[in-house]
Amino acid sequence: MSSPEEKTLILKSSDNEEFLVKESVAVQCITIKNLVEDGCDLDAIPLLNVDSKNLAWIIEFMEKYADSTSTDAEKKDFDTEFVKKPFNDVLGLILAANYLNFPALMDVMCDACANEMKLWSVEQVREKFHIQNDYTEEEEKAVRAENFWAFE
Amino acid sequence: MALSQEENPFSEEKFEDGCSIEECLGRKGKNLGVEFKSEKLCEGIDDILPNDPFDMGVTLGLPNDPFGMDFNIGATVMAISGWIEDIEKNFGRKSSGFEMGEASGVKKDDNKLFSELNFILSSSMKFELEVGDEKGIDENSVDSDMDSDHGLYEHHYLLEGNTEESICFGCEKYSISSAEKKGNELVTNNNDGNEGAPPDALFFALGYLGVRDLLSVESVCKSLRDAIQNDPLLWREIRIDYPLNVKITDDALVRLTDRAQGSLHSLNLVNCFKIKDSGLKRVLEKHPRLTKLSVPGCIGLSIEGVLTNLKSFKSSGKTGIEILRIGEICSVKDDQLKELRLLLGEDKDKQRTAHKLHFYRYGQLYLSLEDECAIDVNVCPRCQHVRLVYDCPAKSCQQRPHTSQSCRGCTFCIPRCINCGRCLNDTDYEETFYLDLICLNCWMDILNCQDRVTLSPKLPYIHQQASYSLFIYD
Repeated sequence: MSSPEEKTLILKSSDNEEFLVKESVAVQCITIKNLVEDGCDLDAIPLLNVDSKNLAWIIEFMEKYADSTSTDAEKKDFDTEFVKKPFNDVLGLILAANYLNFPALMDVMCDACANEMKLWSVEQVREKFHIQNDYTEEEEKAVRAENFWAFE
Repeated sequence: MALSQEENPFSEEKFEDGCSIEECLGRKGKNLGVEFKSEKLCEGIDDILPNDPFDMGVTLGLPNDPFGMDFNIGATVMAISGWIEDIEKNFGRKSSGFEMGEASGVKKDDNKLFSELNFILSSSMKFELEVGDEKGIDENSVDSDMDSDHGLYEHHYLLEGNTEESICFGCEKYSISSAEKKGNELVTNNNDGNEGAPPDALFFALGYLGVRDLLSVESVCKSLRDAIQNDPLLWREIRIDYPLNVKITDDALVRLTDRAQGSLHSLNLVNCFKIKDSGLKRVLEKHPRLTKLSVPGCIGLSIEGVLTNLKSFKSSGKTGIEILRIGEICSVKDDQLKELRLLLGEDKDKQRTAHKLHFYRYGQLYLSLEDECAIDVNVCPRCQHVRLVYDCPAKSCQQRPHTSQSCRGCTFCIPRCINCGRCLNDTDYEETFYLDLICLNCWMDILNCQDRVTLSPKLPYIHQQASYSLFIYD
């Protein structure tokens, strides 16, 4: 039972889906916090760069982290399960967390992405991200020579 | 020594398709550029399983097929060569494992496999597909024992169930059905249609990579190289540990720290034994905002060198180093410790109240830079030498803090369990292969744990044991 002072916000995704979230939960996103503090009196806060799929996940994450009863260990378990998503979705959440300025989510998702990348070779990084190798042969040799000491 | 007719196991053997072994060997052998001749093969077998190894005219009675496996070296050789041939046919020459070139340069062929570790994962996945679909592999050429090998790979490398947790988060990308559906199209880049450029999200993740990974990702493309080399925010806090610690020299360290463009504020060099006092001096000269310095195990440094460097660093009007970690680089005298404390501007009252318990545990032997203590070493209350001093997590020991009988001292005075950190005064313990001590409770936990696949996160010793390294110092 929420107290009468507990304000709820309506967050509207880029595809016009609306989500009801408590203000105390939503202000973990600094972007939303700034809007609220600046006296935004719109019915719904439009989040133009966040689609409904990502917003649903972000709200799930926010509610877990705003819950004062959950312990650090429980949050860590939650994080482990939360990042088990297709890699595309992980990247999408990173961009959404950056747009919303949500540091906790940013940390968790970037950590997951970095941990995954640690297992990859240079070729695999190119392949997985569809990155074109724009080095000439000489330039590539120069980069390798500069960091040769780390990989000999 | 030629086998007698009775001992020659090949003469009457034929395969299901009617060709004899010798014919098959000859055919396969030609494909591989090798000639098989039955006489030579017989001699080879004789050499492998000689009944009279020393030519003494005595038959030792060694059985040719002691385990009743219908041991047939010709069939086995042919099966293996057929297996290799199929790998090469399906995946390209390089993926067979016999030409494991560096992942340098662009792979131009259609081969979608990853190099090194992932080779086995991918090829085993494809085997699972093809064996099930009965295509690709010549059934005649695959020994039935090979199927169990596929199972072995599956157990170790295909990521399903619990093993997934330890390695990746995207279970879908490792499952066979999704690989078929997605056809290796795993990532769509959100970079506004700029094809071939790295996705924007990747640049955010760079800040979460270690130094070695950053240096590796530089080689991917120019925009990543420029981002990594020219963004000082990525280099404000630098930590060098295994495996770079054994390789980094003074020059390499200076080049790395230069990337911070003067904004370096935390430097952590763990066991970097090639770093000398002169190298550290060069770094300090270029980074006036450095406030946290950690050099545990950097035995190329001397305490006199550290003192001199810190003095000149502070004298030129800078804030100076506020947090220092020098665990075990060399022996430190009392007056040197006092001098260090003065240089660090240590507030004695704050030191006592801020003291957090420091336990002796693998992975936490050195005090972290996040701890508020100005310096990690202390005078051991028992031997009075300046060393790393540890507290005791045992309940019985915690009841007597800050007294003369408190269980607080260096590891020379109070030996401790490497896993939990408790003192070993009144408990049995084992000595590990690496000459660490482990209490019986932790030892029993580890032994019981090994029966299960998943390891408890409460026992870091098992995970970290794999990262032990042996350094040979000149």
